[in-house]
Amino acid sequence: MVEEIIGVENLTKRYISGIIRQKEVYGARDVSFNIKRGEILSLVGESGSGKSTIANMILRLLKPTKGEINLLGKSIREYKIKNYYENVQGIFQDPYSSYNFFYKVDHVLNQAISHSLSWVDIAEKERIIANTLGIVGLRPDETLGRFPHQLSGGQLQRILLARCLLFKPRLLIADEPTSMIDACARAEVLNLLRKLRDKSGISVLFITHDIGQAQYISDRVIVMKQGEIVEGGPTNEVFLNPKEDYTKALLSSVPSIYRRWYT
Amino acid sequence: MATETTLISKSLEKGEKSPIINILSKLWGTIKRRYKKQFILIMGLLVFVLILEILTALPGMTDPKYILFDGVKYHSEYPPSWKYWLGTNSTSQDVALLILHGTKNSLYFGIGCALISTAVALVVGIFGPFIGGVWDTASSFITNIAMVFPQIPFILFISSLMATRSWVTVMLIIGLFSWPWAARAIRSQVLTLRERNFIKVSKMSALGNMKIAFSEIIPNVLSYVILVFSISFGIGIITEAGISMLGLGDSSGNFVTLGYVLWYHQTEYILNQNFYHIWLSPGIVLTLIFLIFYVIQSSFIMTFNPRTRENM
Amino acid sequence: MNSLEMNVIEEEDLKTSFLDEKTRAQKIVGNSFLRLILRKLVFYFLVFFIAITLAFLIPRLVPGSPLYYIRDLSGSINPVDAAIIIAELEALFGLDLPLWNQYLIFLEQFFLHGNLGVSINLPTIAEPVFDLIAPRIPFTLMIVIPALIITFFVGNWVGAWVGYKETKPRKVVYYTFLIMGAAPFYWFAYVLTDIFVQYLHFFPPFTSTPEFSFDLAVILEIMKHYWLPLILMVLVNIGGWSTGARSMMIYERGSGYILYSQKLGFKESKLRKYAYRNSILPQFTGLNLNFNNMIGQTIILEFVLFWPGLGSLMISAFTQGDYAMIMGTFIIIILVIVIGNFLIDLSYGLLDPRIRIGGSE
Repeated sequence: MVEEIIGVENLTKRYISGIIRQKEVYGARDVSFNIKRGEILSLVGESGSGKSTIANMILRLLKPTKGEINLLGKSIREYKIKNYYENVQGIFQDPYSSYNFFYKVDHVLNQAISHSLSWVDIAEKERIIANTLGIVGLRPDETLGRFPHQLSGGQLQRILLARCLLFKPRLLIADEPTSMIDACARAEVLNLLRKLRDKSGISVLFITHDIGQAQYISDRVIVMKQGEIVEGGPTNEVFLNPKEDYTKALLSSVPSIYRRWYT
Repeated sequence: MATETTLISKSLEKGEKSPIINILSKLWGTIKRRYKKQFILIMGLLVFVLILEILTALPGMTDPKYILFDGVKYHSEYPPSWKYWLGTNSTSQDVALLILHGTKNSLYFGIGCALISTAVALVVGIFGPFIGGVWDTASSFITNIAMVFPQIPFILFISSLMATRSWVTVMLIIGLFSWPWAARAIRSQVLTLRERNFIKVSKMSALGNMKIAFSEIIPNVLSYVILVFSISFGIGIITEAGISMLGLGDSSGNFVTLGYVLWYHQTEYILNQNFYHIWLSPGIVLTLIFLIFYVIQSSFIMTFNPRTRENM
Repeated sequence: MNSLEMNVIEEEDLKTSFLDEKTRAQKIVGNSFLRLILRKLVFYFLVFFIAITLAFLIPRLVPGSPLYYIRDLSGSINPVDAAIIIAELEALFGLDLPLWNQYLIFLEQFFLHGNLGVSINLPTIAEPVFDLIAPRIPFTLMIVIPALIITFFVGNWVGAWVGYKETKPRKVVYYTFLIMGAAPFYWFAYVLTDIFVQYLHFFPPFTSTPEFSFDLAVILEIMKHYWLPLILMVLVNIGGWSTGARSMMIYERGSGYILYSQKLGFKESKLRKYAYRNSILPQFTGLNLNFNNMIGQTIILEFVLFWPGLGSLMISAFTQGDYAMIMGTFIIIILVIVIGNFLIDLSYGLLDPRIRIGGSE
């Protein structure tokens, strides 16, 4: 059964700058799409195209100016914050800034578990954390009890992923999760996202500016430009037969290694 | 596997403590670890206050305004001697004793001022930008306006219009007029922190605004807060001494501060070259206090430089 | 007075200006210099308005009437007479009217007639306060403005000079200024007076500074008294500027463009010039705060050194309980500060290339 996890309708974010002479800038403009259960949807676009704005609005970190976001057919405003974040979680571009350097990396996990599983006893929590870290391919003794600067970007990003998994979310929003970590860790994170989708049926909204990654991971893609959707559809359809000029331009800007592959 | 579980249980036990105690103990640990030098200096200062407290509690030293009269004549205007280390003034009071009490009281006064202005600066600087919206605009607007308000004229104006002033009133006035610069410094730091992802991560763990402010923001502005505190400390003491010297300090006359000692002599001894011992000493003590704070502050100053901070 | 306070603000400004470069640029580009003037004008008028409203409210809200000095007299003179005097004075200042009515009268008198009330101090009784204050304004400004300009250039130069090459003699100079800045300025005034007036007789005793008039002899006499307060303000405030400039210079010295130019073999003197300019420029943002501080310092210094400016007038009004005079001097001091800040902001705008050259994006 294919079920709609999240539906976005006419989502708009307008920024107004200046008090006297106002100037309007759209972070997102009439964006509509949906994500089904167990689907990986990629949002592709250059920087400033409003991808992250949409991610932040779905994560309820930013209030939309207009439009509706529905989770499981119900407006997200009807959810309590606590319940909402049990369904939707996210990871961000910069793993280093996702950690408060004041605390050890355990801090984010403890925060998460004390919210989502506050009733379980300590031994059980330990087991859950160890398990979850195992899922993302980390050993607890290598990671816990350390400060963020003692770990690599890839490790940090995976701990954040583990943190999200503690909530057992239905939707994971990955906002350029690979752009600030090194190349081999990048593939690991991508494979991990796919594995999670395959095993636990989590839907993923994957945001990237890298067309190669989008093609590698996603079932469907949406191409964005200046806050508006240019084109969308199944991955191969969009990337192999682009209809819009912008998509073509975007594809032609991909490093030549891909082009040679196809011709 | 055994190591794993112990590590996890360790980390979880920490999380199990009441959140406030948890945060406080972490703050304390960081203060001790990161700010060791400043920590020692501040501790040294506290020990100094304690010594002053003990000295002034010794028999015969509790009343700074005790009039030296041996039944025959008043010991007024004595030069420094073994009996009166810094001599006596025209009212036959022991200057050394006045300075001892004045230093102690001035330090207390400085702590009070620093507490008030740091608290206001924290509230305006952290909660304004953090709650956002109208509060943010309001706090920024108030800070900008208060920045232009001249501190000393306002303090003088208010104290001059009051029939009676206790030292607490003076402390409140000074404290409430010396926060804007600190609020602005903290504010701009919070503004950059606010955009960091870990705030988003905490929000996604469904933490409330207040909890985020306490557990995520405050630890990160800690060095600022300590710096702001120590600067306000120095400013409080110097400003109080300045307005007390004009006779606008504590009106009851029972709260002897260094400024009060200066005022006492300002009225009679100004430019009288025979009485250096009376007006030189309070100033030297004030200068020393300010220099001690300068050492504390300058060890922080690198934290404030945006370009060097990244390396820390 | 507050050297480190200054430093903090400056560096914060610098930082925000780095971070918000883009938004700032957006804000400024397209705004002509005229718009800047207008914006600042509105802001400072608002500040002034709030300040005089506070000046109106504070005396009426603090415990004890503004006329408590007169009330104190009731012990020394006939209680009946004292009551009559107080009633008459309250009527004179309109203190028997409702608060909003008093406020309207206050605003009307100030903005429409420039009237700040009359003095009730015996030698100058019934004279308009404003006429007594006006001749004092230049005395305060002639200390603050030159001191601000001199300390800005000398202080920053000293800071950059020490930061550029931290040799022992340079450090000695730097720390000497620092200690002078750390000493309470009013007390430092005693020290200087003692040395220069009592012992060396460089300057005349202060009690004899004459009132201003357009007589050459009088002007020369005033000038003789003028040097010590000015020197004092300069000495006390250099430390604050140089702390900031020094830390900027220490950074500049190690920054990429200097190291790179050194590798390229640029002339030492040329590099020094660049580094100096870059470490002093950010200091401009500290001018406002320093100006405000200097006004505060001057008020107290004038009293200590018997310099006939606004400050000594204000403080003697305190001791005489001259209510209208206290209000008047306070309002004029606020006015001086607001106008000064406005001008500093404008000059900063002129220095900022984005404003000076004009928006062309």
